[in-house]
Amino acid sequence: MANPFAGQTDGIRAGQAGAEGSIDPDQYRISILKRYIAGEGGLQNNVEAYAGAYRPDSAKSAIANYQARSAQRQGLIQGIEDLPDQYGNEVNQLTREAGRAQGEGVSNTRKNFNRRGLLYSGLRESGEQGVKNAVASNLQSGVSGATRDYQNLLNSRKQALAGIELASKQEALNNANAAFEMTTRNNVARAQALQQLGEGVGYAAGSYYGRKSPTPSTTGSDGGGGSMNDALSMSNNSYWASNPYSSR
Amino acid sequence: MADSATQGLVNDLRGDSAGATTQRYMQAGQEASRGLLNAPDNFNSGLNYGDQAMTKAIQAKHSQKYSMGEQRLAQTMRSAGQDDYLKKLQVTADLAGQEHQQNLQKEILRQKQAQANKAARGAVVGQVLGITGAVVGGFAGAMAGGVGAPAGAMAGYQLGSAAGNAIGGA
Repeated sequence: MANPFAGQTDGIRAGQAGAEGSIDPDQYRISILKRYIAGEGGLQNNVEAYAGAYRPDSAKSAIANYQARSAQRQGLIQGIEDLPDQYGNEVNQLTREAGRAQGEGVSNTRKNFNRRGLLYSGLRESGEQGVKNAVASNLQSGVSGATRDYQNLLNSRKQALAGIELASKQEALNNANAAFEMTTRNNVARAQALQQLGEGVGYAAGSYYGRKSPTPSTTGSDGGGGSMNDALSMSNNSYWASNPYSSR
Repeated sequence: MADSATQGLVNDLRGDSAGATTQRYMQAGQEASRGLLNAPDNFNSGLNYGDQAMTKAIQAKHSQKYSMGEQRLAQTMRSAGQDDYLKKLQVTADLAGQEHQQNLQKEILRQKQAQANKAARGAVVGQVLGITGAVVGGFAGAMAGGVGAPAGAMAGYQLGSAAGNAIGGA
């Protein structure tokens, strides 16, 4: 008899392989976190595990969670892969039991009709046929029900696996987002520091060249001569105060 | 690349239907029961009393009853198949929607990262141009006499930095 589940479980394990091929994504994260706990540098912004978000004790707790999810994933994959054989075994068992029930039923029917002297009769034949059909009908119902149950079991396992996979991917996405936000914040801080440096160089250059100017201005402190005092007075100027780059 | 589990569920639905689900449920049962009915029966050998017409009539009578039972089972399985298929459709659509949202978020993040990288490159260029502009502006301010050197430096810095950031797309 053809197994309706043959082919419905292909590619499940391959689809769940992680970043390093043979292991799942949670095992990969575990390996990253273990390296983080061991003190390896450069993992603060790793988006697979986002180790930087954890202290080592939190990382240990995360490892336990990842291990649990990995075990669930492996259990589901194994359950899906084993299902066609389990179904085949159950149907074989049902068929064997039906065959035994049919044999017993026919034998008992025959004995009963024999006792009444009806062994070679249409009544005996009809009785036996009735037993055979009843058993066959029962087997059909049993196998159809088992097929339905196994189909639903397979669907549920596949759906649970998809749920785990989505949760795992969502976590990776959240980690990537968090790492990006952190990197952006750090970049903004660095850029601000660099801009202040640039402005400082501008002041210094302006003051330096101002001192060396051959034609000093006579129009006041804001004039073309320029000096360190000019530079300092600008800190109170409204233009500088409104400068978005200025942190003063 | 291998399909995701959700994609696998979507693929399962291709070519499947409530009817196909019912058919799957029924077919295995039919094969098993027909196999049992057609199996050789050791008890019959030697018990033939020669009335083939009677045998056929008996088989027809029971076959009719058997068919009626099979139809009742088919009806039950049709309803079950529809329920199961719709449930599978619903759950798969839900999971596929989640996966789609994730892919969308992933693409948005990728775009943000690309934009940030571009802006970071622009900022570096901006700093270089800004500092150069500040030195030139300071010198020009000092030479012109009308504008203070630091103001010239700042203007130069602003121009250079803005140019760099424009290049970077910040």
